[in-house]
Amino acid sequence: MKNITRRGFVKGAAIAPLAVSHLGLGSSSDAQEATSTAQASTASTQAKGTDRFDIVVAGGGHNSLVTAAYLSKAGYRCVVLEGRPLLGGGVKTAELMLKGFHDDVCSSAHAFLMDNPMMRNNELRLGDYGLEYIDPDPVFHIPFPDGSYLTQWRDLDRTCAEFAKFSKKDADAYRKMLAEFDAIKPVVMGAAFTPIGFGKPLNEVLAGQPRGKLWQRRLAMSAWEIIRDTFEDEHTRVFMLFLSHLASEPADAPGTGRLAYATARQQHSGRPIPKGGSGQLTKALAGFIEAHNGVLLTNKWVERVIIENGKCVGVECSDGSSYRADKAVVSTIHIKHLVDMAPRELWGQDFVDGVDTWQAETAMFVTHYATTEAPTFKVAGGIITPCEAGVLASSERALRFGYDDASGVVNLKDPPLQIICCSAADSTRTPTGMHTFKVVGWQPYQLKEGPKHWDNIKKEVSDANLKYLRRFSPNLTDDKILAHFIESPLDMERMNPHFWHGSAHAGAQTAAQTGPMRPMPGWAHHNMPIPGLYQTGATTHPGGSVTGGPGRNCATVMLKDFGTSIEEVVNKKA
Amino acid sequence: MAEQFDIVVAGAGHNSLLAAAYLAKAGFRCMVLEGRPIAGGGVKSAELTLRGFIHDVCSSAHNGIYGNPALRNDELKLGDYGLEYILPDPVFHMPFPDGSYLTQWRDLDRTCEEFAKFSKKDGAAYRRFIIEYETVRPILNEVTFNPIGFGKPLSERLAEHPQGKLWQRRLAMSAWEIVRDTFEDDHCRAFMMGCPYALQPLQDPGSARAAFIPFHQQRESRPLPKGGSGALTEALSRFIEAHGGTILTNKWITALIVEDGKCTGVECADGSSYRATKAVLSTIHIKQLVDMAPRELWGQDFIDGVDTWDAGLTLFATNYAMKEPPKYHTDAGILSPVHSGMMASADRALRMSLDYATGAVNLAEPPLHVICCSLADSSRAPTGMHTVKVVAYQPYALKEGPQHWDAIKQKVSDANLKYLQRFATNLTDDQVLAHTIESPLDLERMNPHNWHGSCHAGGSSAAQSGAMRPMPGWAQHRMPIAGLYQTGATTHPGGSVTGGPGRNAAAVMLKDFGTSIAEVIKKT
Repeated sequence: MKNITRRGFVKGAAIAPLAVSHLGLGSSSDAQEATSTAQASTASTQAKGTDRFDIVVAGGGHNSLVTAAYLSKAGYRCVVLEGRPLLGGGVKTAELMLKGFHDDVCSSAHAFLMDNPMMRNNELRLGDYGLEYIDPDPVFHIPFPDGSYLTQWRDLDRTCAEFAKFSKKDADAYRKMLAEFDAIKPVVMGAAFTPIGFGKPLNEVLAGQPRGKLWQRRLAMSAWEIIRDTFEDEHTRVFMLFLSHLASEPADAPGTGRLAYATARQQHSGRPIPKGGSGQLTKALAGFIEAHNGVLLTNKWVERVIIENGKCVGVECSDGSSYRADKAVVSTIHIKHLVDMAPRELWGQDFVDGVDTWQAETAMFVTHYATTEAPTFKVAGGIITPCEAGVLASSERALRFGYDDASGVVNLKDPPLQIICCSAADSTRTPTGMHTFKVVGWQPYQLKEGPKHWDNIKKEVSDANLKYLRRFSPNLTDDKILAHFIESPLDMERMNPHFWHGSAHAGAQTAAQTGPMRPMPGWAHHNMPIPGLYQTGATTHPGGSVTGGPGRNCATVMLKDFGTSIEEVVNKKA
Repeated sequence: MAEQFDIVVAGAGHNSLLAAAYLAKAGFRCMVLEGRPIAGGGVKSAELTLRGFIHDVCSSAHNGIYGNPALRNDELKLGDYGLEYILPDPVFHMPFPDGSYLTQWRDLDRTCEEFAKFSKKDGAAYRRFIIEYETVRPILNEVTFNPIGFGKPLSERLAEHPQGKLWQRRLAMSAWEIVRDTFEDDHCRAFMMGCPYALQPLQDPGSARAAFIPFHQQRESRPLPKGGSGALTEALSRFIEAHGGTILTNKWITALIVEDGKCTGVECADGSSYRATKAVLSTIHIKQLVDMAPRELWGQDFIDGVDTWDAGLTLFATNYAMKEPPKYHTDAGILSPVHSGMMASADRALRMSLDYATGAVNLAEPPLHVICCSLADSSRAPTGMHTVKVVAYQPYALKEGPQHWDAIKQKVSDANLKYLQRFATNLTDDQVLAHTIESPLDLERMNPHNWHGSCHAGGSSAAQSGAMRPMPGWAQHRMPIAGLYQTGATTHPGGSVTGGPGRNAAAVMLKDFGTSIAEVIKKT
């Protein structure tokens, strides 16, 4: 059965448009669905009855796979059920446009994952399962409308020199900012990779630190306040603002202070990309799980959780198959959908209230391109071809995000953009000399005309983004473009229901939806109101983006409930 | 100075006067020093335009203080010292550009009907939400009127509420999210966002409380002290003097006297100095207080907190002496409310944060508050005449710098009046007898506690509220220098006329002096 599963998985990796097309859309995808479903169901008939599982994992995103990996290592038999033909959720690579062009469907850089003990301490030896990271240098490049530019290099002195081009004071401020952040980083990171309720809350730990009180204030301030008060030059402010915005939160919103330190954070860890594609992480995790007696099934769309005597004992899939767990069910299904998979009364009012008040975030708008050239930018004495670049016209343009999002306005004037060209650093992504890159913008899902309106305007928005990018990267003429693929905020949600209302991080990461309030007050420790049901993924602490935090934290809680601990499991040989 | 005082109070705002009142009642001899010619700070009334026209210099309505035990339980019997409140009805009237309007009446049913004009669903939502809010209001009140660290923190109190988890979430949300998810009609949304004074941008996380202010008004209107906002501080002054205290004006404090690491008094600009045998209580803004003693005495944490302090939203006001009050057309004929306001749309409200962040003066359909106290209190103006205050939101930190306000304030003031005239068509220019303008810069000049034009001393975001006001580690009114206490809007629960910082500071000091506020209240 493992072979069948494996084949289904590998096959999934080869399926192109299917990886993003909405289930049941497009005749070709239907055909593809048919084949893989056939295989998957063969697998499932065998899995049924004959197989018993300790853990059923509903959804195959990077977090639930991390959880399953630790549980498998602990000796629990896991079956992971993924609704789509391809595992990985937001950490997935596929040929979206042309054969031989491997595109990251959602995430690309895994910067914050490197702070996860799983990677930092190499707890799972994922290298043995094919995971290898490339550490692009330069880290990030931002060209400005006036022709100047600021490049972040892995080397600190070189980066400071870039800041000094605009202001010596700002260069010193950047160095000082890094030193201050390094002093507090272990505390902040520690909180992210510790389940809520394990150890002291962040505020208490900070209170005991030198200048911890200052950090309490800083973390509650807005990124804009910190950047404005730390840097004097408009260019350096724009650079810091752009990188603070990658979490899709308006930089002037209270509580975004930590995001002002995103640049400092990646000055150390860079913005590493897995060789071969973002999906290599989830492939490696899948390999680890299978090597530890786990089973992974695709095209298994979970519809319902099975409750017996008030306990969650398994799940039912849309193909009629069902899977039972002796110990527990782990869900990475978005809470907005999860709540409909069991009778409302079982969740309790608090939980339902938390689901009803859950808020989306500013959505991303993405266009993938297959080209014969990488985006190049003019620099002193030549051109630069960075793996990652960004354009942001002014600090004032960044301060418009909150208003545009709240009022549902598509603002195409000097659109801020992130450009990610992994093939510039990883030749395995494309045929020789060819390139694949994506252009990421930020737009509201809730348009004044309603989200459906996205289907009418997405081409126009995509073209406007490219037109603006060409002001900085003039080499990207039409003749260099072989193909493109658009993901509007609405497409994001269709492609993966976990991107609720286009939220690539599952929902806003404001104080109302972080820490002990993620996903909701009272339920932040991964145990759900229904006994036997655990929750992981971006709706849980520490939230969205590729950190593996929700995955490892959830495993920590489950292993404790099972009478062991993650430390024991990590120290376990093989 | 021959005279001896137990307590020297540096600055006479309503909070420091309230604290002094409790301390005086406890038997401590208080000396209150006010830098300006009149005591009162932001709670002051004066003839700003013409003789016989009594204007409120800063605050007018006293909503917040109604929940304060000082008044709720009549702890100081301020009525005996001349304090009397008027509760206007209608509470608030908002006309919209399309000719429709929404009026909040003291009668709940009548207000719900006003919402129902636009949406039956919203009429029901208003009633339902107000009932839900009433169940949590006592908890929020307890937290507001207790010093930080006294009694259970908000989260623990909410845990005992049947919907406590929901309220934990709600209080951390933005006012916009609450309003948008509760009301469907844009008029109802605009009313909910335009009727309260926004203490922070309404789409800011943690701004939810602003969305509940209309519910407070539904319960207790927008109370006005008879004779003017300053009647409150005048009553407090009489109370203090009646309890052995002294209040001196034109005493501008320039330095704290620190001996053996303890604060023992203050020095004034006129060379005089005053010593306290027990403690010094300051209501001086932390941005200025920190310069009144050697830096090293404050400690790095405190300095960091002062350096990172943010002003928050700022106001722009024009006071008019007028022949007529504003008159609005309604189905029932002409309506002349004490409190009215304009918020053209929810979108206009959302625009404010961008304008503040970028330092832009936005005169397109400016959100306004219009207050005509003389309608409810004839003692405010000569017979048949009226005082009208028009308040708008404008940033202190203009792109061109705050000094630029002097160049543009008349233009901004005229634009506000012009917009008001679209709705109150009777307020033609010939009705205006006189006016004075208070730009954000003027507000700071008038009272340094309005730092960077902030009438609430500083923003009330999470970074500057509760246990972080004025800064983490120093939210208990005790300052890093022994013997020095802090009250006023830089301390919990913050700005506006609540008396919370005053009574909370008194509670902390009385505890340190070995008694308690409860004992002092019992004292006759």
